[in-house]
Amino acid sequence: MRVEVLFRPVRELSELVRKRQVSPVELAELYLDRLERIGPRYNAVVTVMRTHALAQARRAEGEIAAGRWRGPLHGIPYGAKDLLATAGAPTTWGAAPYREQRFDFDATVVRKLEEAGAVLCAKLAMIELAGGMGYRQPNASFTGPCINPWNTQAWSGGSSSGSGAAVCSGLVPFAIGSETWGSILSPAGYCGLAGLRPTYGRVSRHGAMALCWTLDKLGPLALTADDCGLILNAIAGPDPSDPTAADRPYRYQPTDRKSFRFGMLKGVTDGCEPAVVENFSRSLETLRRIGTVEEVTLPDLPWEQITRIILQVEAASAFEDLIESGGIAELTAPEVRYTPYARDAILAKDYLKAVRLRSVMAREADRVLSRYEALVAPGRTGEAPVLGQEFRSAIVAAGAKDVMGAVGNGAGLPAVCVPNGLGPRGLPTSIQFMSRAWEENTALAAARAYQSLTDWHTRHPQID
Amino acid sequence: MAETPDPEFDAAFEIVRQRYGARLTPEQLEDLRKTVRGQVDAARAVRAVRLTNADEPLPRFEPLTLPSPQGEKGGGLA
Repeated sequence: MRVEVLFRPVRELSELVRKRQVSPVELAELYLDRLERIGPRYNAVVTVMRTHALAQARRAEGEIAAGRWRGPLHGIPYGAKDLLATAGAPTTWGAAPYREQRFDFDATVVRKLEEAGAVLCAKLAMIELAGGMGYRQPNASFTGPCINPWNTQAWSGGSSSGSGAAVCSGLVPFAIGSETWGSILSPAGYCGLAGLRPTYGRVSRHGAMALCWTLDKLGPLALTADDCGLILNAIAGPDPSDPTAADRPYRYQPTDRKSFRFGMLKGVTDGCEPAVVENFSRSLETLRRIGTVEEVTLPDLPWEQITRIILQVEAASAFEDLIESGGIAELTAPEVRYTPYARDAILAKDYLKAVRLRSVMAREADRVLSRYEALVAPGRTGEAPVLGQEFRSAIVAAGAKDVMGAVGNGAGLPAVCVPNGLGPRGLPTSIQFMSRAWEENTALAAARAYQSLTDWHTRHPQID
Repeated sequence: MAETPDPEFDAAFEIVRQRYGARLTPEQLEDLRKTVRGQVDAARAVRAVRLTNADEPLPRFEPLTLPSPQGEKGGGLA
């Protein structure tokens, strides 16, 4: 390779490809080699798609040489969370009962990325069934716990675990993940990446494993917030195959906004680890250079319970056959081999009450968000959990709540997470920016402005 | 200290035990008790919030009309 390309944002890689300083085939070969050689070290990869990727890369190379440049993703390698259907490769959903599963079509997101000229190099590891059965520790995938490249004793986050580890270790320049509650922001935050959870309905879910029909979102993990915008631009939009994909045009517009109004929920750092509190406090000082930060409150409602009930019931219905047949006994995490049975005891009227309360949630969240460009909060309450340890009870015991996650996902709001420091175990901490529905560009502008004043996104783990 | 009687929790747990108990070890059943307890507590939290008659769910059901193939009439299940 004539120029160094590893850990360069998509925006820069794209220019190198467009100017033919880097060949898409060279790029694909570089990342395929890393996926095969380094991927297993982190349990990050399910299937490397070498033949498919090289064919796409050759096509991109020919088109660009002929002057037909499709846009910023043309010739750029990427990886897809293994819940996206892809013809020609298994789609395992991270779960042993589905490890031989195949589809004869591509998910809409995969198809849209192909139309944008991106090169699909690998299907990436994930928590089994996107974590919807209630896992409590990192070893919850048939491919093993996904290891954090910053500290190999730590988890990469989940459920888009491989998407986080792969981008973090330079196995692909970007990846697609999914979030029902936390599954993009968690691996982005724990791995020091930018992660974008789009508004519910912004990106078609056709061909993606359904966990919760009213909560599932697909979005990118990349090195910068700007890259996330470029990728969303390619994957957003209506889709006749997914009635929940909104008929709203999206165009990424990286405007250079100079002034922001940020809100911050009262008590948002309660229960967070000291390093998270310290780094978030430093982030607020940075944000005050580009705007104001005000403390705000939401009404005292059971936000987490509302979203959790919806998630538990919809996931139990989506996987009714697997649960009732006892097929969950084949899952990897011991706790999910039986705890989903409890969901039979959730009453229909309680589910519907939660669904009705979600309307209140959406109204209250929008009432607050309408006064600000974004609500800010730590991306995670701590550094990445240690491998082999149960993590949920530790978070609860510390008194940490995830109101931002509950409201953000329950109300379907977009959020961008970017790194904001390192903790005592050498692992990244993060900050999230959550905006009104359909205002991804505002959240991205805030995250981009923050990244223009900091250099955390330019730091990467040592990979041999 | 003895647990306060909670018939709702007992009934909820009994549904799970009746349906799946034969598949479960005593340890798994005990863990499921905690899971059911969490669910009952969550349900009580949402029930405690008062809503008005006008508070409806956000997602709207939309009647669907699939395009019929040319020359065919009707559709759906026979």
